[in-house]
Amino acid sequence: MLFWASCISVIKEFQILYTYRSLLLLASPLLFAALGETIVIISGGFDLSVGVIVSSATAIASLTMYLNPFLSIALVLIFGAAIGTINGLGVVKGRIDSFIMTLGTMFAVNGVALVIRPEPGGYIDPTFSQLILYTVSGFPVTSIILFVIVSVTGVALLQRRNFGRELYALGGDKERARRAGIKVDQVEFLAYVISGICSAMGGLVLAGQISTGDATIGLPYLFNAFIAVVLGGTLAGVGGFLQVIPAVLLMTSIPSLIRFLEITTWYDFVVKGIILVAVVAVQQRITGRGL
Amino acid sequence: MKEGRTHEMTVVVEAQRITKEFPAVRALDELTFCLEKAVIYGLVGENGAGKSTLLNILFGVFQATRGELKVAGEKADIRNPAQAREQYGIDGVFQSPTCIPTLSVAENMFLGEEAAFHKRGLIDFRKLHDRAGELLSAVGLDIDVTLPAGSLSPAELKLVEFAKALSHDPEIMILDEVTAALERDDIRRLFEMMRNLKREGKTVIFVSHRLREVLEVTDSCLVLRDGRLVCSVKTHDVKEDDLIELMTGQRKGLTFPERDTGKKWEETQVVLSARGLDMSKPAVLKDVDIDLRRGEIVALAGLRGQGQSDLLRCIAGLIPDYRGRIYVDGKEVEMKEPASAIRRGVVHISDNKEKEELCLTLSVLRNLALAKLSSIPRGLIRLKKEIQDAEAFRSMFGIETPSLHQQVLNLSGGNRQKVVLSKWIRVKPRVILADQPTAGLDVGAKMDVYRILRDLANEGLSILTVLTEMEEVLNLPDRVLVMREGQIVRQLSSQGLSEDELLRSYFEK
Amino acid sequence: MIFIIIFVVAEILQPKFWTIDYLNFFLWDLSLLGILALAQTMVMLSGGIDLSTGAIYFFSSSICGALMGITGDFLGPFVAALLLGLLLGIVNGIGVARLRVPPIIMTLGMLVFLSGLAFIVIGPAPKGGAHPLLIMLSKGSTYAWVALAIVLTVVSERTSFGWSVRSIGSNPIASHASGMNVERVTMQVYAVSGFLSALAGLLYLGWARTPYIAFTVSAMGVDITVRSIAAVLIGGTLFIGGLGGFDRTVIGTLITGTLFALIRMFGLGQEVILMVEGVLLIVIVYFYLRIYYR
Repeated sequence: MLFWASCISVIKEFQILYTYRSLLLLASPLLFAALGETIVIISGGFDLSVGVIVSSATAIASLTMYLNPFLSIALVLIFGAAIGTINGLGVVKGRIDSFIMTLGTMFAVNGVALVIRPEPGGYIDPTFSQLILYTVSGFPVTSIILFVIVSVTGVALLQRRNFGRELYALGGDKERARRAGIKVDQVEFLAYVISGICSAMGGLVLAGQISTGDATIGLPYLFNAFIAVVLGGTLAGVGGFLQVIPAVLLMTSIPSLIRFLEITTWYDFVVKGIILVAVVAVQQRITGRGL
Repeated sequence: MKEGRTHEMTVVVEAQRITKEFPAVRALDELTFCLEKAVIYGLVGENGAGKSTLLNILFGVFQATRGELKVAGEKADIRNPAQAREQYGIDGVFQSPTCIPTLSVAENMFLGEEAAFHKRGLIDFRKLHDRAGELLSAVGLDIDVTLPAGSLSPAELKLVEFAKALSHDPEIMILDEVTAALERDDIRRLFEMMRNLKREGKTVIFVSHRLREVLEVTDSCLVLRDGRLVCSVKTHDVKEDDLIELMTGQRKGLTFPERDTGKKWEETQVVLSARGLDMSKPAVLKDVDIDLRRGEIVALAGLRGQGQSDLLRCIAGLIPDYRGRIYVDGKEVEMKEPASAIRRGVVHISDNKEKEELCLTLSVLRNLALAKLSSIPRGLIRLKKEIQDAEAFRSMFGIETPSLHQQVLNLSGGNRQKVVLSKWIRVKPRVILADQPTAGLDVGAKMDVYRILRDLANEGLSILTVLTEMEEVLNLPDRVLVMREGQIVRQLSSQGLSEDELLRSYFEK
Repeated sequence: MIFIIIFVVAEILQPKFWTIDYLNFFLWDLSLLGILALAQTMVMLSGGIDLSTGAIYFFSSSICGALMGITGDFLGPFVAALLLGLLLGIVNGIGVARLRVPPIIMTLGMLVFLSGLAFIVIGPAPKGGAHPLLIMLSKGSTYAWVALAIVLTVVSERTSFGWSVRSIGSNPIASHASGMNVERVTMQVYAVSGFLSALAGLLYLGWARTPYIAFTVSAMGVDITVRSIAAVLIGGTLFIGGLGGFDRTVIGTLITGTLFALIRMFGLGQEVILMVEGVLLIVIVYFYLRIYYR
């Protein structure tokens, strides 16, 4: 909990430094991706396909939006769910390690995305774009709304729904959870499906923001989402989305902070790397647990 | 008088010739009995009598190999604990915990049933916590329900599980060895609640090694021996001694290597000794003193889980957090990690082979080298020598495997144990701490192990072993130390050792 | 094995594949990936994973290039770069073994860290060049790859270190209980991985002649790292069990490479490769799991 406090304080610093409005805008897609990743990590696994689903979402959107924006959105979400389903099947039924399984889907979906949209471009319905970017006197209204909705839903789902509790149980001790009567397989499967949908939604928001489809844009999202989750003190069976949210904001703002401090842009990586390892090491000391 | 009530109305469980067979052993043999409503039953028997197996069958963890079970008059096929709980009203507190350490106490108590606490679709935590608090107060536990379950003491955990079981309002409540961790007040309260359950017409099955408790609170006792039901008696008709007599087992026809019962052990050199060994985590040990002499086999006996394994592990360096002193050849040693023990010729054979002794996915050959790896000169492995040694052990111990490159995964329990023994013998130990070396082995393998151990002792090794089966304790070691609740309560020499005397010391009066 | 099938298929479909020239080139092209895959194999045999191999690869190669550009020497920069790789590997090892940070996170952190560090220290347009001696050495990359594979196989099969690595991968608890110094072996494993990655990076420099940092979307060398992991997995060394081996990795690398080349030859784009690789990975691992567990 003291962690949360330190995170918020760091963010508060930024608020003094520059606009937090654009921060929310930038962070929204990452928030979606981070939610998906959080869910999977709490269940005890990894989802490496998060980034490529984001890319594919933009690609699919850019391809189909000229037909009908709503249809396009539906297709994207279905796609995300489909990949999630494949991941879930592989992990639960095929008993393939989640790292390997999602690594495979990551490759495959990356390929699919490149086929659909080899070069960035395509058409995103301008109305949709405007909606996503809708700003009122400097406040990115839609982004704020999205941010709040995702945050609330994410936290509520994990903390206040059976599914969330069972997810924690599964991550904490799979065998005991099974003995306690929890349908472990179902819960694990759903985790991957939800992750896929979340990433797809994140991709949609991103598509609206950049108004194009880009098959390569997703990889940073995987990294940042993963690091944000871990920074948020979330591992198998412990942590929560509530802590991940400030971490997401932190990750989004590091590049800007560094620019502000007039250090070379690439320091942000250095910083991220060190933070990541340091935080986890400290966490290990405190809790004595493994991933 | 009560002719109006038919048999069916009072009987809640009816078991007909329940038999349970495992690959190496028959755990239950044609058990036939009836359990009635509004009765508190005591289930007694020594190690391996079949108590846990029977309870596991009732709770759906296992299914019987043969036989028929009826619950509330209907044929029952209990396939999993959830079914046992929901469909048949069978619940309880068992020896393996069900709480998930990272979740809070309240969450654990209602895991899977949170729907009852929904307010507008979300879990109302206040309600959850309140209800949890209520249930816990009823059993006399006053703790913060938001704490993670992993931070509770074993006593508190038992009470939480009891409260959890109570909240399901079971028809049949099973309590398997719950009192050992509890304080006297808690126990009194527990008994009171058991009597309440009886008044409500429920059935309680109470298992404990403290015979006094069994005699105090139960109405009727079921005595198991070697998987058979010896008899079912009314508690007020028996005394402790009677129970012990009933539990006395019969010979299984094992033959044991000869031992020298007349030897004057005091004259032999002491190889390993410990003074004042004490710890509270992960288990309790209270001020244990022990001496091990050259060439002797000493057994740590008593009912399971009384601290025997923990004592071994402590001496072996697997538990760095202990109080007390350990001496090898008169010199004090700090056993902070396994390597310290191994370096001085003290090796440990775990009871959990798969977890702590064997690399299952690796070959027999590689497993045999495990203990030697750190001491190979210049780091080069001489394959020929490895194979030679392996072959030697294979023929000496009769390890059955199609090839030395076979994955240990594919070996039977007995052969796995032989691999483990061989692995350790290769480093020429002076003391072997063997934790239940014959667990799960078939008769032939068991006798092989006895022979190996006795041969080693005759060559000068000292062996301290945890043995759970009565026959082994009576016939294999030179000396027996009985442990109960973390203390050595009796020392018996092999001279004139009787089963009666031994069993008596297992149970607390 | 599958590889033979693929190879045969390759021949049938594209006779050009079988010319000595092409084969030479093919193997040489693949050798750098192959060395990285060998490094990864060592780590995976111990039950871990190293996500930073590609980063160390590019980082040390760039440092070496820069140094060579400045000093014009061969030996100094060469050795310095190798030591750098070793050092980075040791840092990984300390994190995993001493601090008990899960390998995924530790090496990920290293990856991210190096990505940033590279740009700070070297800059987006790195200067420097490759010493002629290095360029010459680099022509023999294939031999380096094969030699390393052989050496590593021998180490794995005939040294106590090699056997220790596998037993840690199979059951670290049992290994520790048997008196093994698990921490020390783990550190050594990551150190070797770092060293080999650096070596591969140097050979890369010899080919590219100027330092270059492949920044695959916000982190350095991710592409090649992930590709090498896939090669190891396809070759049959999985995250579990201490099973698998360097020889199998070589085959896995060859399979990956062949597929890659084949698809390229057919003029199909990178997309198809990725898709095929992904599916192949999943399918093969599934079957391996079946085989390994009864």
